[in-house]
Parts: sequence; C-alpha cells; structure tokens
Amino acid sequence: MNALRVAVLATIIITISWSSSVGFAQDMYIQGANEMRWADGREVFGGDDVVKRYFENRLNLNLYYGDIRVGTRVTMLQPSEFGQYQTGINTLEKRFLEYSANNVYLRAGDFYTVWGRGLGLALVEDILQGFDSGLDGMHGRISLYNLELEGLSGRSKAGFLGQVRDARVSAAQISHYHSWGTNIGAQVMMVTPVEDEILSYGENRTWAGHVAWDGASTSIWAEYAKEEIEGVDDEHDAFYSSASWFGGPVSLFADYKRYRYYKYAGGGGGGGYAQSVDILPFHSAPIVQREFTSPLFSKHPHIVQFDDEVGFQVEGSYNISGSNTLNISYSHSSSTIDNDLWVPSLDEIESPYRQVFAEFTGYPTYDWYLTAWGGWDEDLVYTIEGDGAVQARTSWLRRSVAGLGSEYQLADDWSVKCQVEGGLVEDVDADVSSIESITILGLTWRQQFSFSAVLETAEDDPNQDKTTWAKGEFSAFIDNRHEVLITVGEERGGLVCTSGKCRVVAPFEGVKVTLTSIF
Amino acid sequence: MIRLTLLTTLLVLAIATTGLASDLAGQKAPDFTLKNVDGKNVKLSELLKEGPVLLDFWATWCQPCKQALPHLDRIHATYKDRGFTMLGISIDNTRSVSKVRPYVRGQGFEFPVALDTDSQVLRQYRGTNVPHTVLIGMDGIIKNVWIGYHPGEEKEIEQEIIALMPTEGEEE
Repeated sequence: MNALRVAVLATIIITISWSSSVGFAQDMYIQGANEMRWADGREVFGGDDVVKRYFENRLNLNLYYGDIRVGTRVTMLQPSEFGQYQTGINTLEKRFLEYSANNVYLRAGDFYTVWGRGLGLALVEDILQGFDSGLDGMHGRISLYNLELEGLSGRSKAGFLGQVRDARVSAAQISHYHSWGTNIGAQVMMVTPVEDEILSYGENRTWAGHVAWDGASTSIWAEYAKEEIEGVDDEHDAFYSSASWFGGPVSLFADYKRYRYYKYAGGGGGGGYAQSVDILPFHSAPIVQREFTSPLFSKHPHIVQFDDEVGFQVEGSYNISGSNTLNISYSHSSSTIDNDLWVPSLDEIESPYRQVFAEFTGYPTYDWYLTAWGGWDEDLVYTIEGDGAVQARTSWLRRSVAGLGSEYQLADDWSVKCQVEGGLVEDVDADVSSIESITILGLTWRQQFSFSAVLETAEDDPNQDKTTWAKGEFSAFIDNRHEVLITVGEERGGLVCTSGKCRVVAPFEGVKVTLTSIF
Repeated sequence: MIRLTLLTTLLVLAIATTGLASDLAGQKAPDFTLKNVDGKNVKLSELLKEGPVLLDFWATWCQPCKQALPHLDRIHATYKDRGFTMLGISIDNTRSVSKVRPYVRGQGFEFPVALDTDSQVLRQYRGTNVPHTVLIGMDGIIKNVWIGYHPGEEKEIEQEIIALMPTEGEEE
C-alpha cells in the first residue's frame, strides 16, 4: 500500500514538473515547501541527563490549476522531537483536493478552519507544539449575497503530543454580513467518539453564536458557546467579547473571557512533556492575556484554565511621533470559583493572575531601531481537589522584567543588534528571590547571513543545577529559496505556550539544524 | 529498509522538482480577493491597473514586521500618487485579527491593509513565515521576493519600485 502511494505521488510530481517546465499549462503551477529539523545532543529531563536526537522532515506539495488545488504532505520522523511515539514515514500524511471560486469553497481530505473566535469550532495545527485537531473529511462553504453557509464532516486523526482522541466531527455554520458593518452567526458542532479507542470521551454537542459590529473607528465582538455532554448534567459554556477603538494617535483594545469548558479525564499526554489542555481539542478560545511580550517574561507563562477562568485584558497604544509608539497592557484573570464570578478576583483561593507590560518601539533616527520594555506579573495557583478535601497553594510567583533592544544599520549591507533583559523572580511561598537575564548580540549581512550569540543566566532555577546557558545561532540564505539555521550550545528550556496550549521543553545541549526550502 | 528506500526515492524526486520549478520571481502573480480592515474587497488585479504593487505579509505579533512597516509606509506615501500601492496583508488569525485595525490606525499608517486570516494567500506566494514581501509589476509578473526583514532592505525595495514606475512620458 505504501509503495502504491509513493508511486502515485512520484507520478504526480514528475508529471507536474515536466508539464510546468515545458509550459504545458499557463495556469498550472506547483509550489512546495520542505522543512528538515535535526538535533543531536543531550537534554535534562526528569532529573536525568539523556541523549536527545531527532530528525524530522516535512515536505508539502501543492498543485494549482485554475480554481483547483491538490496538496499533500510527506512526513519522515526518525523520531520526532517529541519522542518515539511519532516515528516513521507517512507518505500521504495529509492530502486534499480543493476547489475555490468566488462564492464557493469545497475541500475533500485534510482540512483546518476556525469559526468565529474559536469558542465553538477551531481545527488547528501547531507542529512545534505537537498539537493537531484537523479533520479528514469534507468541508464546504457557499456565499449567497450577504449570507454565508458552511458545513463540514470528518474524522480527527491526531491530538496533543500523541494523546490521540479519535472522534467523528460534524458541524454547520450560518452567518450574515450587513453593509452597516454588522455580522451575526450561529454554529453547531457534534463530536462523537470513535468506539474501541482507549482514550475517548462522551458525545459532545456544542452550540455557539456571535454578534459583531465594525464602525468607522470602533469594533465590537461577542461570542458564546455552550456544551452539551453525554452523561454530564453540569453547565459548561464559554463567553468571549472584545472591543477596539482608535482616534488620532491613540488606539485601545479590550477583551474579556469567562470559560467553563468541560474538562475530560485522562489528559496529561506526551509522556510528561505536555501541560494537557484537557478540554475538547476542537475548541480553541482566545487566551485574553498578552502572549508576545519579551524573551524572559515569556519563560514562565500563565497557563490558562479553560475549564474555569474569568478575566480581561486592556491594551492601549499611543503614537508619540512618526513611528515611535508606546504600548501598555494589563491583564487579570482568576478562577470563577463555583461559577459565581463574572469579574476576576484577587483572593488567593481563586488563583489570581495579573500582568502589566509596557513597551516602547521606534526609530530615533532612520538607521536606528530601538525598543524598551518593562513588566510585572503575579501568578498564584491554588488547587482544590476532591470536593475541597485537599486544598493547597501550588505556587505563588511574582516577576519583574526590564529590557532594552537596539538594531543599528552600520552601512548599506551590515547591521548590529543588541538585546539585554533582566528579571527578578520572587517565590513568595519560599520567600526566595532570584535574578535571571538574557543577552543577545547579533550581526546581519544583507539578506544572506546573520549570526547571534545568546547568553542566559538564572541564579536559582529550581529545575536544574546550571546557572548559565550560552549558544550561537547562524542563519544563511543559500539562495532565495533555501535557508539554513544552525544552533550550537545550550538552551535553558522551560514552559512554552501557544494559544493556551503548553508543553515543557527540556534543557538541551548540542547542535540543531533547520533547513527550510520553498519552491 | 523498503520504507527508507521509498522515502529516499520520494525526496530525490522532490528535490529534482525544485530544480525544474522556476523561482517565484518571473512568474505570474496569483490573483486574489481579500477583505480589507474596513470590510471592503481588495482585488490584486484591480490594484495592478494603477501601478506596481508591493505585498507585505505581516502580523500584529511579529516584531520584525513591525520594524519594517514604518519604512514601507513611507515608500507607499512617496509613490502612491504615481500609481504604486503597498498592500499590507495581515495573517493574524481570527483570534488576533481584532487587533489589526486599531494597530494600523494607531500607527497612522496610510497603506491599505487586507486580512488573510487562514494564510491561504501567503501560501499561494510560497510564504512560510512573516514578514514575506513580494514586488509585482504592472504586467502582473513577480519581480522580487524578500523573506524576513533585514535593516536597510527597504532601500533595495525602493530602488526596484522606482525602476518599475512608468516614466512621465509613459503615463501620458
């Protein structure tokens, strides 16, 4: 079967490349991307110093012919970065046939999509996080005047770091756009677990709807989703809203969340590498906290509790002059504690989290890019287990950071970059404080080469004995289509979160090579 | 062993294909229609009737993109009266797309911004990451592609735009 698949794919590739090279069809072209990631070194995981080697290769090929697209992905993992559970060759890991015209979109095979803000249905893939909630099936959309109808049905094939939760998913959405700037939509999603799977969950039906308005300088969005789960009587829902406004040099953005998704048992996946999301993997609501801050600040991210969290975020931006901008954000969240809270609390038992972050970016002169930032946050985790039988404060951290970054153009072809950030981590429970820092020095020559040296220090990282990590990074464009990135040295590791999905990256020492090709 | 041989064969074929498929520069730019931040349609072929177009794929969370945008906005302001358009295409997904309009307006950028929330158009232009910048001539042919942002690159971009602009005699 595998041989047949390879033969078919090889035939397609040869045919396409031949036809495009002789100008067989002006509208037909092939595009592809290949990413190879290789690492050889050692990592410290669970107190053990172990050999860490992985080789990942993902080749994506797309054929365009008018309104039609055919695509596939060939994967070779020997093994993947996440270990042995992802190993081997998958010649047609993803494949699809797509038709897209002005008002009609149809796709058969593997697909991804996010409806609304993702409270109801969000099919996404994040390769670096090992997360995949895509479906293999049919997806269609049709636009009639201001009305849009969308439907899909398929089977999930993946999950979070090997925690495969096989299920059949069907969903439909209707939305309406009006020239006044309004948009309303409603959706329903049905998730049925596939029998005989070890890790499965009860049948889940999620209803969701949104209303939105875009005015001349104001935008508003509100979305609500409600879960109905087989055998579960408790209410489980999610609410999200956002508003933005701009006038002159000032722009404001605010959003709010109240998430009470059903938390499934049996999470934890990936052999200890993952901080499992534990909710249905086909939901992916906004995290409502600043995700991209600074290198140090993002080392200890707050883990969003999608099954029980209420919070808000406010972000303001002021354009001082030209391209010089000051940006300030504040976010605050906590548990909803027995579903009573609509505003986040500061009480210890409700696991409060607060963060304030300010950043200046701009060009003091034409050739000089400058950025400066500072932030403070407090994250307290209080655990209640077994009907309140066990109550304990898991952790209570306060962190402050300040940093400065600069990039200066020396001549037409050369530029130098420098970034320095220092931080204070305070473990309130243990009454212990420690200082950490990161320094990055870089040199770039046109589009072709860049080199940077990274030095990271942490006085008292409880997860390891080391206090200093140093590495060098070299990247080069071999031509306009091939880029190589080589990293040599030590990496501190830590918790890495993307869109609320987190995994633990172990400290690493060795060599990593990434080769990216587009064609 | 058989699987490894099959994969090796496939990879060799794929690499061979990269040699056969021509570079993006010199190819016809795929046409597209996207919504702009005000909900109106933006069609590439319509913009090309006025003059050369620079597509800049970016995102609100991308620091190098934000570093490049002031330069590209200046280029847009300088040459827009001669038909040139710098079209910013945000690839912010549906969860962060709400931040695009306040960011662009707050910065005072004049260039139009379209939304590519599922990165479909970025992929059509062979982009795997942002910033990804593509210069297209009035003939609809891709002239050059810049991957990432490197200080000083805007001067090269500007020179190539000037070379594509119709002379005054041609405009008449």
